[in-house]
Amino acid sequence: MYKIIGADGQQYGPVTAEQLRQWITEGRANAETLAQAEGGTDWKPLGQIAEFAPQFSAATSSAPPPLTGQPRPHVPNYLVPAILCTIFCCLPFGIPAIVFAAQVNSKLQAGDVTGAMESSRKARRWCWLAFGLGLIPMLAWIIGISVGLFRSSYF
Amino acid sequence: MTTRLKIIGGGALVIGAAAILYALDPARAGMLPGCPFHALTGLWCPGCGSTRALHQLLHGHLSAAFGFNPLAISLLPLVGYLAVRGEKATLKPAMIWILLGMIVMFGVLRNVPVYPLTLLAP
Repeated sequence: MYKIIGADGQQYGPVTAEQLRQWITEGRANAETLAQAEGGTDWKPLGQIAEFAPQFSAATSSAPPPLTGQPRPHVPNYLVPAILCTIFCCLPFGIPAIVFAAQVNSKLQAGDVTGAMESSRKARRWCWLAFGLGLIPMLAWIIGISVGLFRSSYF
Repeated sequence: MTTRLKIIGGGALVIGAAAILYALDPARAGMLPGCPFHALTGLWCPGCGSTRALHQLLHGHLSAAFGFNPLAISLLPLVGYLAVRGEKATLKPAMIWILLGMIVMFGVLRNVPVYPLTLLAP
């Protein structure tokens, strides 16, 4: 079983090797697609996983290898929602989101894709947490006003 | 397709929020919920005053907007740039660390009850 990172940056799976081969055939995944074997911790391009490598060599043997190295994968750092949550929601949880956003870029620059994705996931988690915790008082407030718990000076 | 949906959805959210913030003045009691952090601790967080600042900004009162939250107003162009550029915008890690430092420092300084720093409080 494998998990992969799709072209949209989202995680897919775990799926069977069979299913993954199907995806490769359909062009949903290629040699540069990052995959993680179930139970493993590191992300490797499919082209470097022995189980799938032959499929790529067969498909690409008629073409010369690309001249440049593989492009640096895009890992979202969620900096925009992190800043928005910090400035417009609620303090304590937006700050770690920015820390992890910075880590994503630091690790990407150092070539640590696995680490960057880990930080990316944490950044996203903290953004949602900050957003949710900012939303709760907002909703409570709106409900409170609408049921007449507090009186608004304006409405 | 999903990109277009994101653009439309994001645009609608921004316009909707701007319409609400234009119509309602958060500075008037009971209007919009205050900062939960301020309610709990009595301290100003880096975001305190940002909705009041946006309300002033939408009405064209730039200096009043800065008075409520200079950091939020200063960061708006950056946030807009990052949001529009999406994944094409690549900030150097150092930039983000500096940004974080600025936010934290701003949050600390605006709580210091000494004259020029008190200007930073909303």
